[in-house]
Amino acid sequence: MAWEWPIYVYLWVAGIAGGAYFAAFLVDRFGGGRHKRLLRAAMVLGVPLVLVGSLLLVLDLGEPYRAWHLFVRFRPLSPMSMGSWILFVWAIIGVVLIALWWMESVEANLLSIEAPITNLVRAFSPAREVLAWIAFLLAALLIAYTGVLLAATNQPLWASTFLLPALFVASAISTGTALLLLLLSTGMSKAIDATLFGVEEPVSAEALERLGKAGAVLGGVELVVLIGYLVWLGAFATPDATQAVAMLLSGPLSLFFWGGVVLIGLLVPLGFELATLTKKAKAVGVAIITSSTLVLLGGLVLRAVVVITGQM
Amino acid sequence: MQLNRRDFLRLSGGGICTFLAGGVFLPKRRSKGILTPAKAEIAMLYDSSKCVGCRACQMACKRWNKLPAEPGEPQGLYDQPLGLSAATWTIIQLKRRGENDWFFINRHCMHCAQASCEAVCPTGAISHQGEIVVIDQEWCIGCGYCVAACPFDVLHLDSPVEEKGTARKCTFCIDRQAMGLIPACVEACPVDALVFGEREELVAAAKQRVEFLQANGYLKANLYGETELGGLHRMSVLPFEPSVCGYPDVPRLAVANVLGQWLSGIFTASVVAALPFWLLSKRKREIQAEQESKAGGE
Repeated sequence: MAWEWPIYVYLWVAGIAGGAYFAAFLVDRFGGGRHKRLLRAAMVLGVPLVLVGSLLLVLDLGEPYRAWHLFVRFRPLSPMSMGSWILFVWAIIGVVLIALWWMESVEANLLSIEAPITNLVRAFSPAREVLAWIAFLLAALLIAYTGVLLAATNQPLWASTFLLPALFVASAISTGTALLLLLLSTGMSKAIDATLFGVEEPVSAEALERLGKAGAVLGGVELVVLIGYLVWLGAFATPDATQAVAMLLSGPLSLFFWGGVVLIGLLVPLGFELATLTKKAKAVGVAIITSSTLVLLGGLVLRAVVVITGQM
Repeated sequence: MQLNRRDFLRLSGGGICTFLAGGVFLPKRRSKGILTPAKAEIAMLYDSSKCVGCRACQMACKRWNKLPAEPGEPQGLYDQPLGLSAATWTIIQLKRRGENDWFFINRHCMHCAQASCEAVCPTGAISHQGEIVVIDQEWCIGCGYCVAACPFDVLHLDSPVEEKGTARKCTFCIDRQAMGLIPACVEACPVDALVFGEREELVAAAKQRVEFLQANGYLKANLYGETELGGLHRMSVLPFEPSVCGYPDVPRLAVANVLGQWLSGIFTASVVAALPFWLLSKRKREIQAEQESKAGGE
C-alpha cells in the first residue's frame, strides 16, 4: 500500500481548510460583508492546517528532500501537480491576507504617527478584495483536488465514478463549516480577532444561525452524494467497482464506514442540527460543539476508509 | 582480418565521415528530448501458451539489474516472490482454472503508448524514450501516484527488503538496448515464450499463433496489447480472456476522465454547496425587506 495515514490526514485537513474559507467567504458575501471575522478565523486556522498537512505529505515521500521538484514544472494533466500549485498559491495569498488584516489593526493603533505604513496599507486595500476573491476560487479548486487526486488513478473505488470529487467537496465544505461553528461557539474566533487583529466585537448571532443551517443542509447534501457514489459504484460501474464497494460496506473497515462515516459523521450531527433548528433551545452551544466535532471526525474517517479500502 | 596502419586510418576516416554525414543528412525522429535514429517500432511479445514457467526471465532480470533477492516463507505456492515490487521487475505467476488446469503468466511493465504513470507523474520524472517508459531515478520524489495509477500494478516504491524510495519498474533493459543487446529476460527464455523485435512483425506472428490456438480448442485465445492504451510494447498471446489471466479486460488511462472529475468537484462546490448559503441569505433579505416595508408603512 503506497498511501497510508499521512495521505488521508492531509486530504482531511486540506478539505477543512479550503472548505472553511469557502463557507466563510460565502457567508460574508451574502451577508453584505458583515462577517469578516469568519474570513479571518478561516484563514488564520486554514493556512497552518494546510502547511502541517503538506509537511506530512513531504515526510511521507520516498525522497522527502526532493519535494521541491514539484515546483519546477507545471503539469496540467497531473492532479498532484495542479494540487501542489493550487495549495502553494492559496497558502501564499492566505499569508498575505493575514498580514493585510493585521496591518489594518496596526494602522488603527498608529494612526498618523507612522505615515509610511498607513499609506502602504491603503495601497494594498483594493488588492485585498481581489486576493480574497482569488483565494475563494482557489479554495474551491483545492477541495475539488482532494477528490480528483484519487479519481485520476486505476483503483476501482476511486476512479470508476465521477462522484468521488463531489463527495469529497461536500464533505470538505461540511467539515469546514463545522470548524467555523466550533470556532464561533467556543469563542475561539473572538480570541483570534482580539489577539491578532485588535478587533473586539460580540459573536454575531446571525452568522452562527446561518452557518448552523448551512451545515445541516450540507450534511444532507453529503448524505445524498454518498448514496449516489455507492449506487454508481455498485450498480453502474465495472465488476471491479462492485467488488470494491462491497469491500467498503462489508469488508474489514465496514464498521468504521457505518459507525464513523454514516452514523457519527452524518446521521447524529444531522439529528442535533435539526433538533436545535426546530426547538431554538437556549442550550444550543453544547449541541453545536458536539455535532461540529462529530462532523469533523466523520470527515477524517471518510478519508481514511476510502483511501485504505481503495488500495485493498 | 588483419588491418595495417594505412587501412585502419582510411577506415576510421571513412567511419568518421559517415558518422558526420549521417548526423547532418539522415532523417531524424525527435522523441521527447533525445535524438534517435529513424527505426522501426520495437516491442516484446510474451506467449503464455509457450511458457513453461521456468522463471529464467525472472532470474535474468534480477541478475542484470542487480536486484536483491526477496526471502519469503514457503507458502505451498508456486509464486515466489508473490508479486512485483521495487526489487522484482518481472515475475512468472501460476494461474489455476481447475484441479489439473493451469497456465503461466509473465508480468512486467507493458510500456504503454498512453502511459498512466507518465500522465499523473507530478514532477515529469516519467517519460517515453522512444517506445520505452523510463523513470528518472534522480528526479522521482517517491510520491506513489504512479503506483496508484498503473492499470497493471507494475510500479512500486518499496519491497520486502527495502525501505520506501523512488518508484521502480522494468526498464525494458534500455541500457542493454543502447548497447545493441536485447532485454535480459528475452535472452534468457529457453522456449521463445518471450521474443523481441519489430512490432509489426510480432503482431503478425502473434495473430497467426492466436488463430492456431483458437483452431486447437482455446476458443478465447487472444492477442493482448495490440490496440490497448494506444498499443502496448509488451504484448501477450493469452490462452483465455484477459481477466482470467490477471490483466484488466479494458485497461484505461488513469487521467482519461480527469476533466470530468474536476468539473464534478467544481460543480458540487459552486452549485450544490454554495446554493444553501445563497438561499439562506436570500430568505433573510426577504424577511428584512418585509420588516422594513412594514416599518415604513407604519
